[in-house]
Amino acid sequence: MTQLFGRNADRKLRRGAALVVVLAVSVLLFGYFRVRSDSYWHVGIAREQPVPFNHKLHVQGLKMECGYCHTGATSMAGAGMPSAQNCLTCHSEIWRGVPALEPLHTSAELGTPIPWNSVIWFPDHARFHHGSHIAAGVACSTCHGDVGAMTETSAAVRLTMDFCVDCHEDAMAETGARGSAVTALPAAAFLQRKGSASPAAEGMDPPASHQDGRSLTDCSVCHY
Amino acid sequence: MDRTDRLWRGLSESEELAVQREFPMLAEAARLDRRLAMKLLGASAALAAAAACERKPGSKPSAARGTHFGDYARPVTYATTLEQSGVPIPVLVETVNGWPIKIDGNPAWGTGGSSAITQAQLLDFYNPLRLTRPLLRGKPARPAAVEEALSRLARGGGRGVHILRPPTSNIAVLRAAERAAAALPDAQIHEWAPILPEAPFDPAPGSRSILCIGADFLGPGPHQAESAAAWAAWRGGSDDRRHRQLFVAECVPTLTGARADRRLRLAPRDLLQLAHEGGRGALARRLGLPDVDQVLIGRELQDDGAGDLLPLVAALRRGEVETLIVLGGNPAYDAPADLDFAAAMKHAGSVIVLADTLNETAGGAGMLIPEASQLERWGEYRRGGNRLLSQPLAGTKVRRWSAEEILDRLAGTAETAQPAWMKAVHEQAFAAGGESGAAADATETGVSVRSDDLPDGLILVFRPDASVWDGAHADNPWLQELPDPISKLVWGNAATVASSTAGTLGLENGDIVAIESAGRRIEAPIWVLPGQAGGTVALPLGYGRAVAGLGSDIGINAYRLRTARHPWYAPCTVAKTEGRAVPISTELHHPLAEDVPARRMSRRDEAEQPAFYRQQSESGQHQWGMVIDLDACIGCSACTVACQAENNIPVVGPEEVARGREMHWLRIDRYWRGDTDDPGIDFMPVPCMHCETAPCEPVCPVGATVHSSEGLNQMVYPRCIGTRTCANNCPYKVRRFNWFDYQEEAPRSEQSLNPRVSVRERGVMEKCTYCVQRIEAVHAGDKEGPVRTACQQACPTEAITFGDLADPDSDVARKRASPRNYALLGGLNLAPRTTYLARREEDGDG
Amino acid sequence: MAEPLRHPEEAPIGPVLRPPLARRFGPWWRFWFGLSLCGLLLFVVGLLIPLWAGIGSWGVGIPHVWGFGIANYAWWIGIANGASLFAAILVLRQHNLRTAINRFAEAIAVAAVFAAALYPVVHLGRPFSSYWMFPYPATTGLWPQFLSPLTWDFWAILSHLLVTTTFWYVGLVPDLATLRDKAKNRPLKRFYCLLALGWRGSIRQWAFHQRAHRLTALTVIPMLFVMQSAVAFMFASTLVPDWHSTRQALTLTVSAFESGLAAILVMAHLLRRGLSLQGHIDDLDIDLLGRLLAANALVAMYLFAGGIFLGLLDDPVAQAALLDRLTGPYSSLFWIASLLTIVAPLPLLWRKVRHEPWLAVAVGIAVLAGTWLERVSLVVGGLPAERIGLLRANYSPTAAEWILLLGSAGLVLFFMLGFARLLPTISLYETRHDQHAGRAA
Repeated sequence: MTQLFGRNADRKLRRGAALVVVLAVSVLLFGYFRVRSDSYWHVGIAREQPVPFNHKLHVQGLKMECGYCHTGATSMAGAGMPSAQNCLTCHSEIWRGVPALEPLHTSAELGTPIPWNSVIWFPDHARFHHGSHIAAGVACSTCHGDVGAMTETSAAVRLTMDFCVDCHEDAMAETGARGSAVTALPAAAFLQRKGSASPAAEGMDPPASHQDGRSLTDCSVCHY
Repeated sequence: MDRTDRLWRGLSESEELAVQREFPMLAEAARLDRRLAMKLLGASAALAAAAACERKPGSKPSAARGTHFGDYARPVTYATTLEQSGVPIPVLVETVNGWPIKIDGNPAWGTGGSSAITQAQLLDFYNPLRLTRPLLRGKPARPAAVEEALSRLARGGGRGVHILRPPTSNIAVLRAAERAAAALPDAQIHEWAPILPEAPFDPAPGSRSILCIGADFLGPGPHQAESAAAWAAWRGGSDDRRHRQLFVAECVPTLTGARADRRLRLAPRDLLQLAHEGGRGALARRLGLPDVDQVLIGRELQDDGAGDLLPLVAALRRGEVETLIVLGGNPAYDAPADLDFAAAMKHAGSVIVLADTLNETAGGAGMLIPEASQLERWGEYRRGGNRLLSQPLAGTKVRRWSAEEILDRLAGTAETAQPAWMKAVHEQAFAAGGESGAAADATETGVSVRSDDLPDGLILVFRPDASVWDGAHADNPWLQELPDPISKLVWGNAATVASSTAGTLGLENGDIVAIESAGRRIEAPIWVLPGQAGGTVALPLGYGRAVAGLGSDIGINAYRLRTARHPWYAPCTVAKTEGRAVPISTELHHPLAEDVPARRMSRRDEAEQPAFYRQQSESGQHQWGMVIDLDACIGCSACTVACQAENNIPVVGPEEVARGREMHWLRIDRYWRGDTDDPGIDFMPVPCMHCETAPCEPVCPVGATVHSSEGLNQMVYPRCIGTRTCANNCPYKVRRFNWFDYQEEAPRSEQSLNPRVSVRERGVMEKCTYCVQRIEAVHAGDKEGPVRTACQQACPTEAITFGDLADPDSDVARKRASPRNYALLGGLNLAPRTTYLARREEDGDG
Repeated sequence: MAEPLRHPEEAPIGPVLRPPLARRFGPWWRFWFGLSLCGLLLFVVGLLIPLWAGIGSWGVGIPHVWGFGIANYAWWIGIANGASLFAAILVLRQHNLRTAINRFAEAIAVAAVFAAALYPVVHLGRPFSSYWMFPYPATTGLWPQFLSPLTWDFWAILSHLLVTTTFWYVGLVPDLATLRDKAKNRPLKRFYCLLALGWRGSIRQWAFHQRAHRLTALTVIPMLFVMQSAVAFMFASTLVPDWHSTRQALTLTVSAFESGLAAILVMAHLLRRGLSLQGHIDDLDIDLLGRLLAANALVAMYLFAGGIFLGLLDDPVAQAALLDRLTGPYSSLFWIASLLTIVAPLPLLWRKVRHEPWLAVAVGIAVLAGTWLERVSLVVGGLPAERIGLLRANYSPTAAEWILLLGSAGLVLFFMLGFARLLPTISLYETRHDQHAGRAA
């Protein structure tokens, strides 16, 4: 009877099986690392913006503070983007007539918004409040990185849920379960140890905190 | 009162699914097709969910894009006034980016509570069928055409011009009407409304016992919130021990009757007689009524004629009307049937109608003028001796008119006269002193009772409806889906009868009967209502509309039998037909495994009852809890609609409600108490209990429902995969599931949604959250404390108290320590944070 | 008692080998196979409807949130468990009944597991996120809730799938080798050759194989008890008075065993007739199966009586719940189920009935229907109906649920027909082992 399979069939089968296993494991590992990779979270990837805004020039060069443009950060949920009027306080004279600044004038004239492209954002199912973070002593650079040094704005951290929860867990551990009083900044010591700046150093005037000693790892803190 | 009275929910067997029982496969196949078809037509939500693994970058603020959490400005609240049936109601309206998202009562004028209808009026602003352009003979016209037509009329002197307007307390309208009448001496102005509101509850000082003859002041109507607050105050608060007695004589069970210390079920003829006697005569003695301090007589028993409609219709039929101008209202639908207004309208030379959407009257209009929303205009209203102001909340680019504008045009003035106070602001002077104006509110003195001569036999009783009132709100989905407080019927009405009447006529729930009265005939399904007087057939008004957006063809039009002579009680005959159509009721939904969920307690027991409760120590400083006082709850359901408005709760439609899938997070359970034929009524609002040892938490395989450090049972929508095992384990049945993509299938305009509350997708569980978004707003510093839940804010009698149990001085902590406090299903030892205060009842009284 | 009709040394393996090697099967098989393809199509449609339109296309609502989805799942898993457990016990005890039924009993188990496995996924509101029940390191940092009986159920199904297929496959290997040797058709030969994994039949391989087979059988037993208990705990761990019973696991396991036995009995008779395997599934085997089923019915009867007796002595809430189940709107399900699972198998105590194929098959089908009704009665009838006043029913299965149920039956039919066509339905090597053992003795 003729052989059904060649002499090396066994070896080929075993190698094939090994290959399948290796492939499966690689796919899993690849997936694991990919969803934690910088590129997946757009870290360091700038996006095309309607106006080529240069943070480095304005922050490090001109010593403008975050709160000058992003006025909502100290107290509101969204930090906000400056309106065209805000930019035109200077740019109606400075760099007048430059085509790159044209969208500012269009926006001011027509009352339409400037379509900035977000480089860091929350999904719809999670909520973030800038004000309560400033109140807690979290500096802008903790999550946004050293934006002042960026000529093109990009994300600086991988904004996974893990990233947020890490801090929320540790912040509470610093102060213990029945947290601090209204005026204390529970996360301050922790952040200092991490090497982060404080909001005051970035020119932000933190408001009072109203967390009242609750656990920051309650799901409804961000998901409601 | 026997406190071991049994509580029961409904007489009926599985009538709702009677049709399904006969042809289950067909019924389901039909449903399946429609759902499938809808899905095939639209995008598949399932695939959309799968695509969530791809991270889509957002784009930063385009202000036009409504409601991403981080992008909107803080909500701004405005004080304004809404007018319902000519009664001004002071409200606070919360707006986001200029769009109104929530209406509540103004606490400066009372408790800050509101009614279900007031809460639901928010949707009127977003009604997709609101007219945006004038229509001339059915075709869109320019606003200038309207101005031209009105100016032409203004020059004519008013010959053959008849103006019909609903009653109003809007001073601008009243003044403009005067000016128009002066400018057009030959014109005639008529006033008409199908239902005039019940007078507000106003106890005379020192009155300790009140007899209410058919006056349903706690029932639906513009004065409901005001009356409920006044009643609660009169009755005394939680700790108050004043002895008050309310006697109610009625023929159909109402909310007022439910809170009576003694309720008398009388036939209409007896009611009229009692009213004639003033509550102190032979009949009163025979019924065993003591002498009371005050007698209130209901509007239905008073002489209130058809108003000015008779002369108008007569003029129409004589051909004297060249121009008929209808400034709001819907007479073609709700005018007395014997007048046949719709046909009479055709006799007019031309008809101009002011309406906000297409309705039956607008259908007969030569010129249809879009009406401005109440939230879009300035105004000044008279309320007793006070003035209430209204301001616009949003600008609008659409040209719409208000009644006073039109009257002013007719009067020949180019500009609308400013309200007095605006003038005063400009001139920096205010002329004090009142002015002669329309008559003050009707007082109880000098009430003339109808002299209906009701023959023997069945009497047809017309009732305003708790959801649609007189039909004006038939196109409001929140109100259509809101269960009637007593019958718990949704999406339609039914002819209710007493069990004895049903027995005599051989009827059961769902039988279609032919009701004939004064030579007219309609068909309606039957619903047996315990507590109704025998020999009566009660039919709520406001349904069966032909042109009402999504409210079209829902329910039975009772106006077809309502005549000018017998607007409230009419002799009728009833004949059973072969048909069956079971009305949809939620009374048997969400059953609890408890014999006496709604408790009553006498004062004697109250003194003896020890009060204790257990509280787990969670780590947060605040421990949220809620106490619902069953002694104050009147069942008005304002809290239900407030919760729906605040939390973006979807409307699911009649078929889904029939399946028990209604989405109201807060439901009001109505229990009949005692005798099957003439029982008492108990109301019990049931939100999530936020149990300290919640049984729903450990059974979720992915941990989508967990406990917070402040005592909340959290529902985490993005984590839920929809196993629904939490719903199985909730003994209170407070959890609601998104069986379909309800938000997508019945979409609301995005601007009307509350941006602080996530919109849930298909396959996700949801439930009452103790308004966690409001708690978070205070934690984040966006709002000032104290935290008030939407239901607490809406309740006119302040029956719901929410707050921090860890603060011993808080209202909620004090109420919890009351001897009347108990937990629902307490035997399960779940330590719910939501507890109840038993309803008080007098010792020895029924 | 009559002489046993078995003559092991004379039963040829030819009849068993003939079907897989036959070039074509008869019209009956083709008819049933076509039917099963329609069933398979129904299955796909039944899966797609809730995925596409939403789980609301089923008749579920509050309080009946589970309905057919879980009832059918519990039924199929019960059949799988029962059949598998039975086969495993036979293997471990080396009982000679195993030669006859082991193979197809395990095949039934595999088919039923596949029919059941998709139910827990498709009944979810968001099935595409069902992988969150698996503990993988996520960027959310979240892990499944291990306190939940549904998580236990998830693991139970996974292990069930794994163990059942492994047990079946390990048992198949020597017979696949036989088929490989006997097959004439070259592609088919290659197919069997691959699956046989190079079996040579050496003593060493046999030794390994026997050990492996018994080891997998050993893993089957605790897995099955855990599986049925996990299913039972999904109910018993809730607050629902009717479900919250310590006897739940026991009741479900016993009725699972019964349904597995019934499935085996039906299959045995059908194979005997259909493939003329009277020599292999002989009268003694049929007899034994019948008696086992009858015995199981007696156990079920004991539990039934005990359940009612203890339930009536229980606290008022549990008592009322039991009465709901017995007299409420879904009581007919309960009583018919009890009739079919307890009374219907009793005629099997009579020899005549045991050996009359159509009667036995009827009893088997009755038991299967009875256990299905019992599951539906548990899932649907156990939930509170209106407590005071008249009772009402608010769950009625929709067309989509029926389609999925029929489709799952179609899937099982498809699998079994394929199995009968392609693989030996009786364990050949076990038969030969027993023959040799018989000659040696």
